[in-house]
Amino acid sequence: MALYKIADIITEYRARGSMLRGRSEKYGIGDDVQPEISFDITDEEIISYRRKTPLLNDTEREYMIAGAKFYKELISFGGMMLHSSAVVLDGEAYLFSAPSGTGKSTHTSLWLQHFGDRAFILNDDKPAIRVTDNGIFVYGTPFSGKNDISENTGVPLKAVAVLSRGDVNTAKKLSEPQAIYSLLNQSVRPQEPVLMDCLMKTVERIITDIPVIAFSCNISEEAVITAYNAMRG
Amino acid sequence: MKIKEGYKLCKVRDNSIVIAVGDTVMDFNGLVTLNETGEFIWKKLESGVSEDEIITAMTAEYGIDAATAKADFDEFTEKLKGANFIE
Repeated sequence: MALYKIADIITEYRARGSMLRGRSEKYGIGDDVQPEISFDITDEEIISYRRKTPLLNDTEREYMIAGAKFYKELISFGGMMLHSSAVVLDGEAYLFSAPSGTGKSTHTSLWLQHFGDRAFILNDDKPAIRVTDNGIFVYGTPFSGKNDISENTGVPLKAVAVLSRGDVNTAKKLSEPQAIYSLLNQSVRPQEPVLMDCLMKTVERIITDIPVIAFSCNISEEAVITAYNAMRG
Repeated sequence: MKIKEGYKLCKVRDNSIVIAVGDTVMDFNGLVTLNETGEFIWKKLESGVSEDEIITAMTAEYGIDAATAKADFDEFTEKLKGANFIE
């Protein structure tokens, strides 16, 4: 077992495959501390996951299962995974959430082009959000989807945009029920009622403190400006 | 009439929201928002109160006559049946 600090949580697991080990490496910490989260990825779990994921290999399956386990545990720590591309601008995180294939990463890469050195990608697919006494933070994690684009750091969450494709660029604030639905829809829902209560509390804090915006966009610099203006508040 | 197991009413700010828990999470990934009357009826159904008692409670709670309460009750529970929330 090795120790990692992910989203400020000391996490213990054994990374056997090269994918999980490689992506976890920069989160590694010394072994003189007590883990707050500890889990195993067993052979049985990997084998039973084969049927659901015929196109993956076992190394990728181990990585996926580790991510699922971490993000489930994260809920008890006042956190949630949001399926999104997180771009940091001037030290604050802007999250673009959407189903796979919509164009989240395409849009955040436009932010890098437009803002240059002021911006970087915090996590390209599955950042961790945490509600803390000091505000709501977003963290890069080893679990970032297809590409290993993630930084081991945490920054304050500025805004969330629910991205869809459109011919023109529009942004408007979502109603509360829409915002709640959008956040839950791009996360993983736990089966346990207790965890569900935790997750709903986190969602409540997010929609209370953070703008959640419906953003329809094309691929252009104007799309970046539309989003930025709507999200910076 | 009873709410099926596997659904949970949550309060998020002023929003009353029904979501799935347990194995039902696999089948129902949606979310249903209830208005005030819906929340009132849902809670009663959840605690096993009978239809007649709920309608009486509605007349007291909202100052409406029994016929109106029954119409509201029927409309709401039809929707729940349609969404497969009650058995």
